[in-house]
Amino acid sequence: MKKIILRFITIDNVEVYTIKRGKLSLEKRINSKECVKFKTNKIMLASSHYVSSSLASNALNFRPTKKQFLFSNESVLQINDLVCLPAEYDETLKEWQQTWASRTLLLRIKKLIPSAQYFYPDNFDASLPEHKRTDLSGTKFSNNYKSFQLEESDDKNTKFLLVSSAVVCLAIAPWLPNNFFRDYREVPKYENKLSIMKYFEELAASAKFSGLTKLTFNKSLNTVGAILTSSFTEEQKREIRKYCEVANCIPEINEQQVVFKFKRGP
Amino acid sequence: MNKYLRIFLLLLFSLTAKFVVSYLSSDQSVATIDSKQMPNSTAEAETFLAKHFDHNVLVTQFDERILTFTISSLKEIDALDKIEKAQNLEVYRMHSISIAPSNQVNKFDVFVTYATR
Repeated sequence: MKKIILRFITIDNVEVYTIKRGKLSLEKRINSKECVKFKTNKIMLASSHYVSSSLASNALNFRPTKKQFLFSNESVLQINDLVCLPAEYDETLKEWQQTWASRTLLLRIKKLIPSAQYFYPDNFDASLPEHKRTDLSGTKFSNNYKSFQLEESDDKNTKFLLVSSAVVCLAIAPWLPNNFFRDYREVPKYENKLSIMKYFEELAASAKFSGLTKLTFNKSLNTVGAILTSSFTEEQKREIRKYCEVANCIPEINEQQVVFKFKRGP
Repeated sequence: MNKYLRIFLLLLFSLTAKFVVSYLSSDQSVATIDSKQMPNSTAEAETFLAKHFDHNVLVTQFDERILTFTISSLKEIDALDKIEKAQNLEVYRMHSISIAPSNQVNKFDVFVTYATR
């Protein structure tokens, strides 16, 4: 996408520049009604729309703050109507320079070009004499150049604080425990497989149990209990003991009931 | 760097880090369960177990220590299926399973006991 910057000269004369590799290139001239077609927030102000002045360094015995306006004596603008760039010290000329403009004028331009946000004075290339500034093609341009902004910096800070707070909240959200938003709880998962079951199947096949009244697999005690309708025969008891020698379990035979105690992890 | 870009990078970093940490620390022995799904009464336990076993269940004891229930009148194949399902229920610790003939011919009752804590 092309980077575009509009240079506002007069209401009928607006220059459209594209920025290629940090240099301006004049595309065409339009009138201000056509400006709405260009979605750019950067506007250059021709020299008639701002004022620059300088003050010898020895005239000041303090360092001006960013918002301080040094030329209230020279300016005809009311202080409410004034937007100024921070004063800059020129080492070579040993003077303080400052540029200012009328807020009303900038608002009027913004009305013509609603997307306008940054108003750059067109004197950013100090090497270019004012009378030669008819066409700024080939002049270097950077977004970092100082610009007038109608939006109050306090508003900008509030906006930034709101956005950053929202982003910080979003960044923290995944780290909150699950039960912060919902009533979740962590439940341990249990391995409930009854490994003793397969050992009993082998025994049941060999001992030929019949008339089973109840068969219990106890995972906590690692036992298998069986109750028959009739007492165990001697043959069945022999089979059970024989099986337990192989399977390494202890049988407790009592009339119609037998309990096999398996060692842990049979 | 643009300050907005910085804070969005913070968000991206946080999400990436969370994903990595979750991936590395995924613990198969812990299940996160909506506690609303866990039963708190005998009636809720019966509903919960009926859903798991796909059969009517009669809860005979449900307290803070033990959960005992019976699934009655099952054919042999169904009884084996319920025993299998009882072993697959992971949110309670298995205590015991008993199988006994039912009052009906060729049918069985399955009695299951879990520890609830």
